[in-house]
Amino acid sequence: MNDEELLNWLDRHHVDVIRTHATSLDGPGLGKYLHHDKFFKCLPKGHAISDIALFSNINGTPHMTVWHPQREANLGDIYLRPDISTLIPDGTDTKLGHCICDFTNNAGESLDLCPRSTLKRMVAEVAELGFEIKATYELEFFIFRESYDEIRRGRYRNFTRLTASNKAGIYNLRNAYLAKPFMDEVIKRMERKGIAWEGWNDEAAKGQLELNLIPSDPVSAADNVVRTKQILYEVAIDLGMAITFMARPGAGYSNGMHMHHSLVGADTGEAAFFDKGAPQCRSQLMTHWLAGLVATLPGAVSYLCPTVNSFRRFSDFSGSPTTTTWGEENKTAALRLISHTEKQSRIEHRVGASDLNPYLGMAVLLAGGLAGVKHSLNPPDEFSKVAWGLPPSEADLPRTITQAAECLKADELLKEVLGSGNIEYWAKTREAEWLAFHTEGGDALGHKTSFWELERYFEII
Amino acid sequence: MANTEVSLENDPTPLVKIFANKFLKSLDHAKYASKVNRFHGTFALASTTSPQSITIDIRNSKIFICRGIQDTAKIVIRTDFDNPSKQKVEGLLLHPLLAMKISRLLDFPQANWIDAAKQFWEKNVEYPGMPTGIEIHCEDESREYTLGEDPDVYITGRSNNIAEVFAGDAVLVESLMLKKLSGVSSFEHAVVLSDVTVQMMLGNR
Repeated sequence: MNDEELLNWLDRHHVDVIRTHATSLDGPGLGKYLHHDKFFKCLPKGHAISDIALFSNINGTPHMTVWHPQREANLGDIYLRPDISTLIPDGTDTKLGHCICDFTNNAGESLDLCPRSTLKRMVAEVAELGFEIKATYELEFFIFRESYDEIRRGRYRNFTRLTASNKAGIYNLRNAYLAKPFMDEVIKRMERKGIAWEGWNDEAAKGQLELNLIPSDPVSAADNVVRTKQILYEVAIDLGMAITFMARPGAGYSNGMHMHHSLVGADTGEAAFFDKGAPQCRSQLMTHWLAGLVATLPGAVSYLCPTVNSFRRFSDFSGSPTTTTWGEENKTAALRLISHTEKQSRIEHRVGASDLNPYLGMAVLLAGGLAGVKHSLNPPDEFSKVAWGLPPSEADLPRTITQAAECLKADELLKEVLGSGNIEYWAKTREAEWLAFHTEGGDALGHKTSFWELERYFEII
Repeated sequence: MANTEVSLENDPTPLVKIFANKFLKSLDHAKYASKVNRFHGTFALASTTSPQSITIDIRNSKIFICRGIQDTAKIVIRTDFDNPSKQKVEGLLLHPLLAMKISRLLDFPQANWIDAAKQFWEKNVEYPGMPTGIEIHCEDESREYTLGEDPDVYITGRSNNIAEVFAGDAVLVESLMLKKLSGVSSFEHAVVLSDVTVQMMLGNR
């Protein structure tokens, strides 16, 4: 869109205010509401924002124990550069528009740690190999009858899950019917913003829903996730209810964010994971890609499970994988392959918790696949049994935020693709999260989600 | 002392690592090492401001530290780790001698501030992002000491607070926020120095 087209767009949609939108490293959305004149005048560089927008923890405290050369020496400004291709009208608030942004420095250069730019780099590397990626996410979240204020006042102990029965069910239509007025409003707002969805349903835990989005290129798919999460929050606010993307706010099943992806030939448009003549119809590319995902899984867990709370999800027979296993149509393994038909050929990565940053989660997934292809790795044997309740082994996924950070720091494949600077910075922020948990009030012995976790993550993540 | 072992639980908590590091550093002092070698017993330390707690078992010149208050702990000391002068001791009446020995054991030797600063500089001068020099002003001794050359960081405070930070017993940024120290520095140097002091406190450096 050139300047004239942009002005026409703003005029045609009666947009007076544009909300810019990026994510911090931890994933929460951040940005500013800008008058359309300001938005227009600051293009293409974008508007200034303090560097703590990117270089701070989930509660907005600057990272005080990890430095990066792209940080401003004294908390100076960095920039949010709008990606004009993402400009959309709100549709509900008639004067509002939205635009997704990337973090840059004063010279307009992308910052290495910008989550969206990191994902773009990975997509570009895959493109260099001659492939495009189709990706999507499954969003799981909990829905509560009370407002955030009420839940906060009750110190997170008195929330009522939106459920028809005091017993958990799954795909239960009575549970879904209770959630339908809420979800109708969510879907309406998504459609007004052009976010394509496939379906939603009642999930395994009480008051848990799953919302599935239409596959697209990974950056658009991640943009849709951050926008949808914001819509879910706003509908909850408007209806006096609450939702959370915390992995495990309480007892019972927890929230994951499974990621589906496949590669297609950039020129041919054909499914690159599918080879009718190969065993199991798995192409050589799929085999190497899969091997890279498996090899980098322990380190990738650090990005896929970014909070102390994420790790409470890992429990055998509770839906989440616990080992670095893969298998055809195996939902107990970390990586589920669907490889028998060209149309459906894909990999479902099941390790991610719902509190992950969707840009970084997808970026680390692509980095693993890329590493597998670049090094022509071969995967371990397929796991065709139930991958839960197994004896302890080297295939166990890291179970704590510090173990995952250690695995990440030791992962030379991920360093090669994502960059060691990015990885070292991220790993140190996870160590800081661990320190904060222990020194600010988390219970090291507690098996239940602590008040510290609820207060830190419930509304924000 | 070389023959005293310090071992930790798997995937230790910060408090476990901090105390393991305190013991390891203190065992370099012969007098302290001899105190440890004469000690047999299990005790626990618990925070009065958070759920943090650890149990320390010392016997036969072996120290084992793990999270939580284990049943084997005969004495439990509840304290604010940021202000350890306020303590509540459980088990004192049943085990008064042990309690006394524990209090001596927890009186870790502290280097004087200049020695701590010198050692800090030797160990960390090559750490990425370190300042070219640090000027330190000790208020209670009215003395100054400079680490490196052309100092671009200035730190002032009482001798014990300066020693604490440079010995890795406190984190710089926390000492600044708690007003135990004050200083002049770029944000970058404050972060790098805080990073180093955290790593030292956890025994990673």
